[in-house]
Amino acid sequence: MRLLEYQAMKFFGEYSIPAPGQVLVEKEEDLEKVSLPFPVVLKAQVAVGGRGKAGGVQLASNEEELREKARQMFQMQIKGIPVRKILVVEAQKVEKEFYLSFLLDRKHMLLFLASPSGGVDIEEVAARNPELIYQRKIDTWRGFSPFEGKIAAKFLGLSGELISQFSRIAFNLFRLLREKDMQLAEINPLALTPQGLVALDGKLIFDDNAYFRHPEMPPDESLTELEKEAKEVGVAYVEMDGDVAVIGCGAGLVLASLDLVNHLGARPANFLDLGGGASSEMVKRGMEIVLRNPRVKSIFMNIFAGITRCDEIARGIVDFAPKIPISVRMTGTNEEEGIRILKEAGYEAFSSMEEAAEQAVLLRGKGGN
Amino acid sequence: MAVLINENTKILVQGITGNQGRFHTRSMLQAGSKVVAGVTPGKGKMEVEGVPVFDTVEEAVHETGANAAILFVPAPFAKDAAFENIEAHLNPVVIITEHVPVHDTLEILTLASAQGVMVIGPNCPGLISPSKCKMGIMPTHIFKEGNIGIVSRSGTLTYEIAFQITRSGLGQSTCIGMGGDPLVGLTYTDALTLFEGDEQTKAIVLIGEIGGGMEEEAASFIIKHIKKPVVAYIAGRTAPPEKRMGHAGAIVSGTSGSAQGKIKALREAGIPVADLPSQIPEILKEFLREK
Repeated sequence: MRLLEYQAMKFFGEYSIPAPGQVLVEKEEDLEKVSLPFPVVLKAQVAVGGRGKAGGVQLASNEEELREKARQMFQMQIKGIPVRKILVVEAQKVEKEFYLSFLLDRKHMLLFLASPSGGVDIEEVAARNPELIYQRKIDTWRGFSPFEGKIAAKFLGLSGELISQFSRIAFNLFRLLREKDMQLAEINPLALTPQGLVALDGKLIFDDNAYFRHPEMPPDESLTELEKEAKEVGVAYVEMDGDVAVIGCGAGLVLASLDLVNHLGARPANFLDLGGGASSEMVKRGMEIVLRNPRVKSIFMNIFAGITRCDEIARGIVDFAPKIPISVRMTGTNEEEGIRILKEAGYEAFSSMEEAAEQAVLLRGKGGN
Repeated sequence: MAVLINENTKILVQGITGNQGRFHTRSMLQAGSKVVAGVTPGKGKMEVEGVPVFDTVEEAVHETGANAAILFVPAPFAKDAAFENIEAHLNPVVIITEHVPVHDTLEILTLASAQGVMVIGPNCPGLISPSKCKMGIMPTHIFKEGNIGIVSRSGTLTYEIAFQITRSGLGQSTCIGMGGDPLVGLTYTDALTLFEGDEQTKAIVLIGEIGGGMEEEAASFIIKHIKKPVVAYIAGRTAPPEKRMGHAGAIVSGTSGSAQGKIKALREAGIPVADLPSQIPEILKEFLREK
């Protein structure tokens, strides 16, 4: 889960990472609480990149402007996401912007990154000026030592007191990564101001698998309603732009099924992965979710059962009895029983995924929704 | 021959008394695997499917000579279980458990590499050397002994492709599912190296999917180190922009993680990339004819 900026800033506070004064505003009345010195920056709390270009970051130099801009921002949608929360932040005199992060990566395991070129897309820096990126693998058991921060500070061109300041911030950010089970902990930009180094924006990606030991972690605010429902059911759902609904078990095979529908000249309407060992109830709820999309004209269900049982899947289909055509591919554990249940209820089952996909693409024109 | 596991592999099942552990122990035994011990703390002296259960790995190894481990323990306990097996030098250690926190995996893999133990997974289907040994949760009947090595990040997609290979009349030397987590033990380059050195393996199938930079890495590795023919399949050409960990993750791999990028890297390395899973057997047969 990617935390929103205001959530990341709360953790920065907890870990003594300096940041400018700020107030979270959820409705216009909350503006009363804002007692920051002007000018202030209004920042829309949406978990998408490029919000600045979309008007999600604005400067206000007095109370009137703050009110007006907040009102406008609450009406906005940024890349389709409505703005429900605004972070109002004390504007800073920025002399220079740096980049600082820690992350878990398959190749380097535990990686420390820093760059004197902060405030911009770090991926672009990496592509254009890789020499501007400092990277260092951090030992798993020893962890990050302040001296490693000092080496990076020199690379960034910092001197005097700022060297220790930078190293302290890095040390605390590393503690946050490890103690709070973050996959990525990033400060971008880390700004040099007359008051020293401050975190102007932060990105934290929490490992969802670690919820069990972090009751303090907030729920994911970036999901759409349908995605939330899918999560509750225990399936993975992503909406797409076509008209053939695709359901399967196992992300790789579902991805291959989307590609196959595309290869046959049609477009998939969604990605829905039931996961391993799906119950008939999950199959029903999964079909309910995909049919919420009015564009769907047929369903292609691709089941290669390992841990999953075909009879369980077949029962789910028969119980739900979708009102639009469905084409099922079924093979693997208990396939005879599954196919028998489908046939008795008048559904056809294929053993090859290509035949089933062709059928689903063909059936689009037959039967309404 | 086969790689990593064969008829001499003596398997220890950690978490053998749980539903999953019990079910898959039976299935592994039916596939002809030598499952010699189970471990569940507090359940020592029990038997599951005729396999003796011990309280600790140390005891189990001492009593049965187990030399490889497979884990079915719940995610919160996976780290400790993996440590226990790695310290006992069981090799490989296969972690089937899904939802293991990535910081736990980091520690598991760091210890494994210091101890020289190969970890497979977590969140993986395991591996099988057909007719010799199955150490995983895959359906046994879709595999057949043969000379194709398969390595994959996906579970069910691997079953699909292995089954198509079997139906075409070919078979597999070893089929390895590496797992789809951001950090995994065995990688493509490890598997490719093993297959290159294995007499039974005549050709290799590499199954990839969107995200990360492992396939690109494999492409450049193959150019330098692999002489055996390799065919690839990459799932996710039409995938919606995935919710990835974003920029910082991509920097270090130096790639976008898209299917197109991976396909391009593989093709530039001279590796044929199948458009559909069903094309793979034909390409393999072509390879074997050329030999």
